[in-house]
Amino acid sequence: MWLVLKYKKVGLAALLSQNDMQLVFTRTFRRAGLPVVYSDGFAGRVKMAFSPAPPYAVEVLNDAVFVELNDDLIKEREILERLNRFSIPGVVFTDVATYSKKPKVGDVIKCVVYKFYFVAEGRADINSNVLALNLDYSKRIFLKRGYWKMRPKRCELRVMKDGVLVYLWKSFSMPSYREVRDFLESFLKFEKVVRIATLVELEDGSLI
Amino acid sequence: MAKFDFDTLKSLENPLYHIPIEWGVSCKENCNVRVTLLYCGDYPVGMSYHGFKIFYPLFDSIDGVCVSRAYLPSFNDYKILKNIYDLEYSRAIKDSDLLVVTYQTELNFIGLATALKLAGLELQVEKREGPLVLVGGPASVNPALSLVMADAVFVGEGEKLLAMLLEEAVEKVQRFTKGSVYKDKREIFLELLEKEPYCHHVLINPKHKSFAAQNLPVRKALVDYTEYVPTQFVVPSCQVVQDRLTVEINRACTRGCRFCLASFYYRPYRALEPERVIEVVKKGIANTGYEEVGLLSLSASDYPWIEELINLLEKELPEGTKYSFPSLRVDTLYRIAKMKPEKMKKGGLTVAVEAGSERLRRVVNKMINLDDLMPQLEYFFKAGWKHVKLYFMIGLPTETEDDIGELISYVNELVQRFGKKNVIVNISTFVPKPFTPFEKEKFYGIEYAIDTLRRLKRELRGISLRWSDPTLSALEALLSRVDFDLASALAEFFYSRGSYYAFEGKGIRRESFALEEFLVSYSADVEKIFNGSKSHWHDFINLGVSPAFLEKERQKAYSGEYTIDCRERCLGCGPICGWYSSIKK
Repeated sequence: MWLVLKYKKVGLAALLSQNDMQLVFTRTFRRAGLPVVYSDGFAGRVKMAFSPAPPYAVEVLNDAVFVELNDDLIKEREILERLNRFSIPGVVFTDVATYSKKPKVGDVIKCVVYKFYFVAEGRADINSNVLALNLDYSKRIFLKRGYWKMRPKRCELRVMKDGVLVYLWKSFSMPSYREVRDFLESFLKFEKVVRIATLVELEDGSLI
Repeated sequence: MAKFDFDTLKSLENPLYHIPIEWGVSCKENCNVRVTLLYCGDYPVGMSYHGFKIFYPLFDSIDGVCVSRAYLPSFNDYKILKNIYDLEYSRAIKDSDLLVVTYQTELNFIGLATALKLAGLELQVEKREGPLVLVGGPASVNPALSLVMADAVFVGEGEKLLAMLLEEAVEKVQRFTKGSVYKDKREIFLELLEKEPYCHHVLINPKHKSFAAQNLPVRKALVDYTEYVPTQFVVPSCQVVQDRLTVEINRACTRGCRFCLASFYYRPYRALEPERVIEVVKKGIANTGYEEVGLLSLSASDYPWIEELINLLEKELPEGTKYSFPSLRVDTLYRIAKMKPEKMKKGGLTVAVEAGSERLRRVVNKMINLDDLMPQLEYFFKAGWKHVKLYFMIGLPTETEDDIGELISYVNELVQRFGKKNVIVNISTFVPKPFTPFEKEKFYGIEYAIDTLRRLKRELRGISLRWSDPTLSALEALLSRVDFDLASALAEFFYSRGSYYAFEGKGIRRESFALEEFLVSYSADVEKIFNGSKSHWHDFINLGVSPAFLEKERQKAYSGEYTIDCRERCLGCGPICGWYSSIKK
């Protein structure tokens, strides 16, 4: 049985890197007494899969980790309760879904959404240029990469009341987050960035 | 909750070394006594130190005591933080009431000097305000070294007495807050330490109190360590050195290698029964979530119930958990390998040969037969082990060119059999330590070590050869037997320069030159120390192993006589076993 566990990583726990999170999950599962499955081989590890790694020091509100269990008798509520009892401060498990087979990461995760909270002064400028921003962003990425075969990554920016919402469509890697951040930082000041979700099946404009 | 803001933390090299994002951390709101366990090294190394794993839950269980841990930040992190803070409360260590420091090696002396400087504490005890600095650990047995910066030195095993001290301190502080005569908590601790039973085991700095008033030498404190085996641990959320559950299966080693301080410091031999080990392992795994268990010991091969323990571990350990013995001799490993243990971690093959020739092995009392070793190694290579690591020492007493020649020919023989890539040779320089039979031996010096290493490099070309820096060995040799005057001067030097970072990092050459220049005016003292003509430590500390026994062992070394394991027959090394029996009663 495979579990898809949704979790959030907030406060000081945001300083845990993805590498640290692997250790944190392994120890949390073992402390919670979950019957996890180990990989074959000399140094067996807990069978786990992750959503795309969030950038360092960014809070995560709705991320996912996939883990295989030996036993399908444990109830979902009990799993959540146990995990939250034994988890590290700042890492909170919010939901669990069970699958008989290992789900493909790409089937579950459609896009990654970041929210950049900007300081008040920049709000007026950005609000009037949403479309221009999107166009400009695509153009810049395209120019930066410098050759035709590489298509610009799909990305959409929206301005909310308190910040800029960024959707990265199926391009989850760190550089694309960095590219967006660097681009926005060139004309806006931010207080903080939060990764809002990774699991949403996004319909245009529905996620606010 | 950490008081650092998020941006500051983000800019650190690794913020997890400074905040309590860990399991098993205790943060109390109300406390009477604040104790900080200070490790004079960085977090990944300090987290693997077993002593603080024992003390942390023990002190935490005392009402009114807030216990925290502190480590030396990296140089870049210090530039941002500007102080040393503990992890639990993000409180500057200057604001603690008691700093418990361990000297695992003499080089921790440099770490403490740097830590005091960074924390804004005075070096001189008489000028210092703030926490009482209590030093312990095997390298603190030279009082000249440990009393320079410490208010007091605890000799031996502190599990019972330190907990008692804290309980009494809490009681006094509670009375003190209701209007007592004490100026500060430092004074409370000092007053307690001057009383029984502490005064028998704690060396108090004479700047606080005259030596005439304290009965010297102070005696090593002993406990039945099996009563203090921890099952609750602080578990880090990032990778550290030795990242595993550690269970001390036995304490002390009775082989009696004549160069080894641990062998004489940790006596008498005690062991935890296999059933108890299993109980501790099970609780520990449930509490920590660790995937590996390290069965700590100075010499796991001497654990009397090793086969029984392995059978139990194979049966009882949960799935996905491995266990390892960090110090298994090849002959024992050979015996165990035939039991085909499945959950045992297949570590590297390590053989501490120490000396290349049979003659020199007799001198150091290292009973190892190289002829028996060869077929055992062949068995392991056939069974899938990839390489063998050999440990040798250079500069041992009575060492000659011929001994080094024998070392080279033995390694070459191994290389011919198993291949160049499969043999790794580690060389360290012998450092004479107090309270060992070699305490009065000469340190051969940096030049000798460098020349010998050059010869080894030349004649063992193509073999993976690793060595410890002779400069650091020389520094260790100087500090291990240093006298009071030079120790003060060195403490000033390290304090003013914050030398820890230079010796840990790339500045080691520059710092060594500076130290060499500084020592020019002390060259006569340095020579005396290197020649081993001073042994003042016996006047201050009694570890329970008599100086007469050490001298007898030294004479046996010169005549090339082996000394048997003292569990076979009592060798009359001193009163240590008698002290322990009286405690057990």
